[in-house]
Amino acid sequence: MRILVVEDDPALRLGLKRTLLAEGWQVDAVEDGELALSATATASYDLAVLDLNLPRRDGIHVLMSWRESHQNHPVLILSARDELQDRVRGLNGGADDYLIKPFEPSELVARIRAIARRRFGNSINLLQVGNLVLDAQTRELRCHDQEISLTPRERALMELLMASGEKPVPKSRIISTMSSWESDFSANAVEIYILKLRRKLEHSGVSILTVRGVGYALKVLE
Amino acid sequence: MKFFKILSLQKKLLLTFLTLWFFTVVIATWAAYWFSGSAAQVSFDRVLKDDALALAAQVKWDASGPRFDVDSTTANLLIFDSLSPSKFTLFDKYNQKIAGNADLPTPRVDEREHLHEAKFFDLSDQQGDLRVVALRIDHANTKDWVWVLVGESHSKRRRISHELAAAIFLPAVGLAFVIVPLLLVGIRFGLSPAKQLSEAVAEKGIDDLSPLSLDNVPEELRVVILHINDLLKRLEASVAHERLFVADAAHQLRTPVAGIKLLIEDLVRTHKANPHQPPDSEVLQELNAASTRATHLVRQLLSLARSERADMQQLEQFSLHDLLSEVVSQWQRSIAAAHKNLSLGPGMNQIDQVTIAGSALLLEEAIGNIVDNAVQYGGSQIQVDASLSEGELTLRIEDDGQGVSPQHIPLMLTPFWRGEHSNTIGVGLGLPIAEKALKQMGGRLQIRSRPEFAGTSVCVTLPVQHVKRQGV
Repeated sequence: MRILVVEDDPALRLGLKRTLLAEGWQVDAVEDGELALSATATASYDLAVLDLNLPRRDGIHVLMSWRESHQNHPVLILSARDELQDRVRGLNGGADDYLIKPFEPSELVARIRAIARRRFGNSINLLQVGNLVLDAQTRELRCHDQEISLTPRERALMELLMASGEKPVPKSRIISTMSSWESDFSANAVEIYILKLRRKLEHSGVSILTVRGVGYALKVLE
Repeated sequence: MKFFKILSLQKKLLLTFLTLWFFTVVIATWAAYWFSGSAAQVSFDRVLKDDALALAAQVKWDASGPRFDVDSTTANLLIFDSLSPSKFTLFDKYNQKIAGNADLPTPRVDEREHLHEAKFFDLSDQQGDLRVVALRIDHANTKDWVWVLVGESHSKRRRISHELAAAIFLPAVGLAFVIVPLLLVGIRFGLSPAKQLSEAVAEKGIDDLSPLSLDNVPEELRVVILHINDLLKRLEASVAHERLFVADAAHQLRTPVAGIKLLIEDLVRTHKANPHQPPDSEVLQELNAASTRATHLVRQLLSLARSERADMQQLEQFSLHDLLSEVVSQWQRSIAAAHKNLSLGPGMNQIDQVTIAGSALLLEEAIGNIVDNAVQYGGSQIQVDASLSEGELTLRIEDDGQGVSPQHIPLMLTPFWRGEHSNTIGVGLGLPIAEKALKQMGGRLQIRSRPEFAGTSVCVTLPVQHVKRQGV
């Protein structure tokens, strides 16, 4: 999942970035409204964490610009304003959730997961393909109750593949989801990570197929 | 009058009404008593005159003169009065008594008077006070005349006077017992809207700043309520402004706290995952910067609160020149590394003898914040200058930076407003603090920028009553 963080306070921006990176998500962080708009103009994001009080362009204006230009990625508003009218204004403006500063990192992560589930159709925290079970909460991949240890990147790729079941995931989507500005995820890198995953899944009864001209898909072996 | 002033409105009205009523009643009853009394006197006199005429009709004239041929019983019957026995005397023109049951004196008459009109006079003899009528009867041919005098005791007139007094004054006194409660009820009824208003104000909760109702309110109180409502409206605006400020302040504090919290959690997490790895220097650096910002913000908030609530009653005398030099030299030390130049202008010589009466702390805070702003956002050359003209002392803090766009100049005094080029440490309180502090000292702050001025110029004006030349 690729997330855009829009926050003008440098400490909070760094904190958000590190918290979300630790979850295995790809994060780009910008400090004002104008930069947020140019970020979404050049890359597509699965979710945006948006502060309301931003220099140059207010968070609400950024949100409205996104919605007007049909950029429908989910938005979680972060704001220090806890008055009802601010929350209502944010949610009416097209936000999916509203979190008041300061907050617990675990709550932020749980809310992002909840938004993602609502948006991408998984209502439970468990992704299952064949014998493989990925728990989004504990971030563990298990096969017959045996944990398969994964790096954050591998886990993010595995999550992407498992989320679409046995349907193929386009390579371009893998690249855009796994990329951030600081680490451009190349086509070669996708192949390397697929190779690493294939090795780890050897005895799991699930293999990763290459769908020519499209991308990759999981396949449950008989 | 002091006693009257401290009375309640109800008592004041009652007292005024009662006083007016009392004097009116006294005058009216006296007038009624006097008029009815004199009318009674006139009718008694008329009856007395009739008695005299009845006696006069019995006077016969012959060659020897006037004669009164009626015996005393008949005569007494003619002038009979059941209340007070009447007395009569008849005299001829030689003052010789012709008849009578008493010796009433002849009246002293002036020949010029109309002698044929009845003359009334009061008399006091050993039997008591008498009212006497004297009637002169002239014989047409002989130029002879007779005085007929009839007197009656004053006692019956006194009695009727007492009866009249009782008939007039007693109802008036009785009326007082009715009028006082009626007045009280009337005044209470008339003042009830005022009572309702005071209750409506008393019942208002501390947060209830809604306007008072104007329904069923008399014209006199309508103006009062309109003024109260106007005051409430202004109060509400001020409270809303305060709330907005508190919300802004909370917002400004919550953000660095949220950042610090996230970074600390990150440190804890990475430490747990890998206890032997040193903490990430970027995280430590940001933590340090965030806590510096939070400290700065708290300090600025306290400073703003201080400048709003400064006690200007406690004035102190201080040298403006010394204060400016001190502020500038403090900043010169701290900006030396930033390749910026802060200097004092030539006008400083003008004010080296000037002493200010005010709060040195407030002025230092104000100037410090303006200089801070210039250092943070201005160009490389910053100058602090002063000038003293008639009536006003002017301080200028000018820089040659990129300036502020005209539409942003009014926003610069709004708390928490930060420009497009805001840096990370600013919280948007510097200029509002300066403005509030100067306002407390009776001064004002004016900002000019491009294209009017090549950079940004903050002009501080202090009224001259705060300025005093040393040794003068």
